Amino acid sequence: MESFEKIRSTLEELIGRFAATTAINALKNGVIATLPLTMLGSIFLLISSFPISNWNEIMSGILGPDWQYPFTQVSSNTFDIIAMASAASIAYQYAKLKGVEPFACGLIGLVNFLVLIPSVVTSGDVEVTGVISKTWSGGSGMATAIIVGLITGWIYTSVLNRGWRIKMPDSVPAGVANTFSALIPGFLSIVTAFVVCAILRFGLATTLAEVLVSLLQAPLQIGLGSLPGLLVLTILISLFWVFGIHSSVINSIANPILRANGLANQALIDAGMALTAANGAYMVTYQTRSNFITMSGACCTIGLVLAMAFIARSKRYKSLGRLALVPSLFNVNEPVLFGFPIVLNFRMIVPVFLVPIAAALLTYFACFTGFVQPFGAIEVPWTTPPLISGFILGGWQGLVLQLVIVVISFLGYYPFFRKQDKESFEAESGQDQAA
Amino acid sequence: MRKIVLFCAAGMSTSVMVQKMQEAADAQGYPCEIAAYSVAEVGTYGPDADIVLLGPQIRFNLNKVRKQLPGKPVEVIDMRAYGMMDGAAIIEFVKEKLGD
Repeated sequence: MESFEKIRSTLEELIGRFAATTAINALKNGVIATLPLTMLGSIFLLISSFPISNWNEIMSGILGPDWQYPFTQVSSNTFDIIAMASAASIAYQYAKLKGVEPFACGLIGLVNFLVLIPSVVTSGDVEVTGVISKTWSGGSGMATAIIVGLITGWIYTSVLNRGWRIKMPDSVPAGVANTFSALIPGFLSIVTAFVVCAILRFGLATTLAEVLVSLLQAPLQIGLGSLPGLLVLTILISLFWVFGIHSSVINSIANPILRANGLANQALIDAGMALTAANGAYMVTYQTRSNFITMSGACCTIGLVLAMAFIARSKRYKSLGRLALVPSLFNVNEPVLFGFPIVLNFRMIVPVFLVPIAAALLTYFACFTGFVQPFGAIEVPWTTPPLISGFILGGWQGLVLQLVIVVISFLGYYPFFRKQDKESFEAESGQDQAA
Repeated sequence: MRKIVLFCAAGMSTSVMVQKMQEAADAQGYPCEIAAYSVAEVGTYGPDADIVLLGPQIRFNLNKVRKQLPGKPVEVIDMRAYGMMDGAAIIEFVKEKLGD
């Protein structure tokens, strides 16, 4: 137990240092700030492709064959600018964390992002210039957005905080002086993007976005989108929680990649292609993790909560079950993790890993076999109750999948729950007799 | 009137805690205002608080938050009390830390 505590405090120390860096916070806050776009886009996309068969036929019958157009205009212009928005948002948050006026920095992040993605769209043999490519301003530009956003934030704030700015006499109003103070940091950030753009263009006839996709983003997307990747993610989340550490740090890195997988799937859907592995669809996306593997909260504890709430004999677990039930329906399960507890409790270690792993395997193969269509761009807020989220994301098949996960969670946790409940019950009746 | 602000990863589980704490505080007539937010918002909501409490799952942020709020009491909620959502125990803890 002592060595266990030692591992815990070392891990906590490491995570603490990592989580305190400006880069990781700017990334996390920057991505969170773009979430409204994803959620709003999801609503419109959901209406235009509601998960019941014949939906399109029914709606076309009422509103005419072009009925989806305004919905798609909204959904595509939220999802397809997600990288662009992230570049601005990450640079903005970086400046904010450094205590610098953030708006100008965010704008320069956006400019640098656009400088470093291709500004050509090809359709067959035709090359169109003078456009912003939605391929790159959306999911494919995600890695570029993160790196450009962070580096812009870093250059801008370091230059500004070093005091390299154009100084105005005191008589110049503050508002006017501020526009000049942004010039040098902004200039140096943009020059950096300019140099990178020029070297890649004349040296390798490419762009930063193309380089980053092939060297960084594609390997990460394929890795996290694979079964081994999903299992590693699942095990890491449980491991963090066994030590009582929130898995937000893992999520802040994995989420943008997993979202890019969903957007890549959406591109296949939009092109009228089936979401099969052969067509290059990703079986693992943000929704896989958020609404299936960590359904009802990390470690997928819904079965344990149901057991406590409805069949516990001890007062302790009966009351914890009732307390934890409603939050669990909204995927908030800290009362279970800390109250049962799952955290630092060796006796629960088997189900804490096995239940989410089983959920991961099941969800993966449900998508792989096409029982549930792999997830596209539609997301639901992570607090959406299980079964509802399954239906919105995967139709009745998604709902069935979540129901099976509930059963697995119950079966997995039950034997371990029973033992602890029995001990508590005996201890309680012993106390009653003594009293 | 004491102002108690709780932070966790998203401000969700601490918001359950807030309710239990407020009930306990009202029952014993301890005048306080309790709120919960995401730890990303420490800079916005931390400075006005009399005491800041972190959910045990984000204890790894303790040093960072203490640095962000110099001179302000910043504490981590006890795991057991958090799990059982024991509002009374945490109000006791707050009183002890603030000397009320």
